[in-house]
Amino acid sequence: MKWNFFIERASLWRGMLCLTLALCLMTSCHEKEEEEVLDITGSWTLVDLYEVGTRAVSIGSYEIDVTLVLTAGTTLTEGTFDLSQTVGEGRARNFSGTWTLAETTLSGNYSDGTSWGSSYEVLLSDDKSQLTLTSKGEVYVYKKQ
Amino acid sequence: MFSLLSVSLSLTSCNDSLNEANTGGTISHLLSEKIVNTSEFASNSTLLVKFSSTPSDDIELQLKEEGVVGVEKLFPPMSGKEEKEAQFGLNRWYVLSLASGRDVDDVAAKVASISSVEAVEFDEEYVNAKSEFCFPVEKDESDMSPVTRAMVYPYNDPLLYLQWGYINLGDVSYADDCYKGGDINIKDVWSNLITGDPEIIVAVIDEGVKYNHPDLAPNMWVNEKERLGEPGVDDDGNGYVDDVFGYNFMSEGEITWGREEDSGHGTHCAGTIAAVNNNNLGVCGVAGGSGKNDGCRIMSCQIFDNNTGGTSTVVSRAIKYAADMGASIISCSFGYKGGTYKSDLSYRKGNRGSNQVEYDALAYFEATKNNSVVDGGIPIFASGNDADPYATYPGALHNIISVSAFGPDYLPAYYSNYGPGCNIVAPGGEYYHKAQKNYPVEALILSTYPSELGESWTTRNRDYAYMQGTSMACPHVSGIAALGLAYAKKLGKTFSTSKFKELLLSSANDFDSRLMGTKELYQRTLNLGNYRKQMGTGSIDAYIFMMQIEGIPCLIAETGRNQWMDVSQYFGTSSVNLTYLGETTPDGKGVYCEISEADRQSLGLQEEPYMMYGKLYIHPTKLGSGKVKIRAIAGGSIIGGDDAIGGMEMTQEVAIVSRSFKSKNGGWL
Repeated sequence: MKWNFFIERASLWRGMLCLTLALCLMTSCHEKEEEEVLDITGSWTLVDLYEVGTRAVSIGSYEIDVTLVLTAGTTLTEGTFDLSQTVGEGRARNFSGTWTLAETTLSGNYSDGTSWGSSYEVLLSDDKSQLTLTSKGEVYVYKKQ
Repeated sequence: MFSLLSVSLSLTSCNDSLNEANTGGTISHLLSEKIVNTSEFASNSTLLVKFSSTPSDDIELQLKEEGVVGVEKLFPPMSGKEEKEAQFGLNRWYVLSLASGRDVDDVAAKVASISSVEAVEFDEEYVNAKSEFCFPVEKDESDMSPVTRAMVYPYNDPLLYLQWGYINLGDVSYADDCYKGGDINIKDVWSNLITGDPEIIVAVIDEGVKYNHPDLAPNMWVNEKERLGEPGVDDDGNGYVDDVFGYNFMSEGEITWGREEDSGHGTHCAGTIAAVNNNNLGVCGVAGGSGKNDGCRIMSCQIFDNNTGGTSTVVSRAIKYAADMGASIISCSFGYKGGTYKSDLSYRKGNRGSNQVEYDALAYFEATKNNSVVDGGIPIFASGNDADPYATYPGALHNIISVSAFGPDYLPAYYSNYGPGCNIVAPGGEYYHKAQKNYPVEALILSTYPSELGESWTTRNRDYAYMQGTSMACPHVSGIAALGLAYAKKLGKTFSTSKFKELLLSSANDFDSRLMGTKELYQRTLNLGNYRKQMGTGSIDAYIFMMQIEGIPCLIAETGRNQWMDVSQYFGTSSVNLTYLGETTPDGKGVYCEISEADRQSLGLQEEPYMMYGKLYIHPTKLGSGKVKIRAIAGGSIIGGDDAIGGMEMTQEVAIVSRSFKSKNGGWL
């Protein structure tokens, strides 16, 4: 009986230990998950892309001017976007649609059903002021407005 | 030495003998070179003479001995314009009045023998390019409910629904085969972009414009100095008395429009350009504003009066007046009979047209800046109504826009000239539209009309009428050009005049794809194949023109693959039918384009880009950007010039951005 009790007490301690460990692990995982979700929402202006000039570095007299506004949906991993672009033309063309962030991969669709020309790998600077989108070797750098 | 040379020059001057004409064949040849036309259709009481310098008293004396009773400057001197008049030689043109009974050919030969005389012209009379038909408007307001009408038409003008040239809904009551969209695509321009600008002035060089027409009066150009000045006095000192809304160069006085033999042609053209919009009255004008006193302005330069044609003197004075008094565009629905001239040189120096002074005046207008957008004036002409396979001069001059016509079926109108020199197409209407003799007048062009000329009509509304012709197509393009200037001014954009004209001509829709088979009209059949690639760059599109003025998007090319780029944004949807200029590719099917070495490096091009079948072939190998220069001809397969009638060269720089991907809808992401 005592043994049994001992056993029972041992089981109880073991159970408590497991529960504690599990709680710790869950807490740790949750904290880790919160750390890994990037908050890329906000208004971003294209300031550079490697090899092709933008804004400051125009293409002859044709300037590229791109502003991307990302708005979160129910979570930080999906939402809607508004895109204003001037690529040579005299006034901005506007697009909108939805975006999804899977870990560090950003993809999306325009509201007319057209998918983006590519998905992008996302890198957010430590101070959250610079968003770098990389695709097929091309690098697009956006600054937060 | 100096003294001897001076004496020699003096002697030469003294030798300005009227007897030189009789001294041999070489001299005779020189004289015939100086006399640029014949007296066949000219005034026998006046001669036009261009001197190398201001004629001396001795010369004037010699002229008087030969029966010249008056010598006066052709263009009244205008304060502040002296330097420019001298630049184009306008200050050296004189009108000689002959004593009655003198033989005008004889006097011309003797005047030509004077060494200081550069050119002698007989003062030829022009023929008014009247519309073959003119009909009253019999319909009243549209049957549409006010709500529906407001949805379809941006303005409340009750007869706008009959102006298919602006908004063509494909109404079969106008024509069985009325073509939806066969119009100038103006609706969205009016609704969203621009409706006019009072500082943009279009001179209508034509019959007099009825300046007090209720649908035109608010958009008439007004010379305030004359309006507020003394009647009978040249208050602004421009050489013309009481020129409040323009001037009657034919009768040298008050503008007229309702005389017995007048046709209402000038008033009709003016209405298409800038009848007042959104005033709950009558019709709309292309650049007529939105009813807030914001339309472009019309200046009346009258060169026909009571069916008397303007002479070279009259036409030239009218063109110079338009330049001096602020016009940015001259809308010219007149010209010579088709085929009179077959090259720019024959036009200028031809022996049946007194064109030298008119040519000088056009050059003067083209060099006159009257707005903040372009650096010169823009002449726009009708291509002619003789169904000839070439445009008529002066519109056929290779650097001047010449307009051909289509009907409500969006097919060539039976009367329209086509072929070399015809740069673009616009609505001109068509009477013999049906194969059966039951013509709907609605197939013609509706615009403003002087009610005085419609007194015999039984209809209630005599202020409006239907006409047809390239004369009606021309003011559609003039109005769009005016809107383009207004829009560029609003955006703060500037262009060279040649670039602005190129943008206008490349703002065209495909017109050739429907030119197959025949078109059956009353007692005539058109073989549409004859018109293929003969209608300039296509049909004018006002909305595309405004987009071109805003700026053209870069073309996004994909790196690492061969591709054919659509250049219709730059050259219109008729780009496949244009003739491109440059070195041909080895197979003879394509034409290489120009690109700088820096741009070639940036895009990583390993072969030259070229145009074939209206598309740009390019193969970028890396992320980069560059500009490709493409040259094409608007109006024919050769550029017009001294040797032949032809089109106008257009050059567009196509901006290319090469990326490794692109979305199908043009979005950046």
